[in-house]
Amino acid sequence: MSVKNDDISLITQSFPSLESSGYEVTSAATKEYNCIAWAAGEDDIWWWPHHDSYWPTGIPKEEKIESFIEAYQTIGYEICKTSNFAQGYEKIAIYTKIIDGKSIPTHAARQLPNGKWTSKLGTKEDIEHNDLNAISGFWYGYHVRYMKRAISM
Amino acid sequence: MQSVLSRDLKESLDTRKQVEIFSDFFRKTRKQTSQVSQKQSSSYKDSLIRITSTPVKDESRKTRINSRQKFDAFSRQWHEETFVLSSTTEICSHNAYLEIINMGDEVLPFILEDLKKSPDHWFSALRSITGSGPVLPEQRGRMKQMAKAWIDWGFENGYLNH
Repeated sequence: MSVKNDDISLITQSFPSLESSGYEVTSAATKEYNCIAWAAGEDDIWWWPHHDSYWPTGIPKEEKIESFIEAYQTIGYEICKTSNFAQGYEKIAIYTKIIDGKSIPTHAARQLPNGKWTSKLGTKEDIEHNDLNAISGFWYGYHVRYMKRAISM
Repeated sequence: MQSVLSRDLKESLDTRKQVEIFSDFFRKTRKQTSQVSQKQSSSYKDSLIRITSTPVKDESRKTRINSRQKFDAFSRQWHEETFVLSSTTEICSHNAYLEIINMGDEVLPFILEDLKKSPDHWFSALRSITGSGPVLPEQRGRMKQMAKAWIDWGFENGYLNH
């Protein structure tokens, strides 16, 4: 896997807290999938409620947290209260940001069996990060909702 | 109340600082890119002239070079300012992207050539410019398949040559 130095700079410039909280780049950059798909466990499709992206059949194509929750429910996730690690479950965190006075989903991260989080950063790389807050802020807003599903053995 | 206000203020300052850092980074990157592109510009133009050396009027050749340069500049800006986004809506409503759509069908060969190199979020622009939709519903989101559908469309409609 080759990661461009420019990309490392872009990541750390975009998310200044990442370096201090700890992170690792875990894939090459790709435009084949995005964070929403990656949180759903897919790496060959771009999920978004938009004509030119995939969105689960029957779920409203609306940029609202409710629509994203319904989308993840189609693959077995249910709402939970916290992002705390729970043995036997994988969790996702959904981020939203206020745009033009509306709360718009921007990003999703998935918890790994080791308790860390994995995020696909836009059209760039996947990263493994220790802290959900490390990518909060200007670009993604804040993590506001959590979902979980049992890990199939 | 005070703690909420001070947290909001801190977040606002953090965000401002982040924007400043980010803008500074892009200014430096653009400067470096500009230095490289100045060195490359004569050979770049030469190669464009060679590519377009079919018997056409000088004026249309100039127009094509200008279009290419405009497209490249908008495309670069679009990539630089959207790389961190996952929202197809935000990516495809960026100002530079809309400028490319405004350039009309003269950009179709550039977009399609770009898609041949690697899949990218050009599909919304292609639909807007052409009014066509060669992507099947079951292909939506599958970037490679969507790119292929449009590349095939480009060949069929004379915007790409074998």
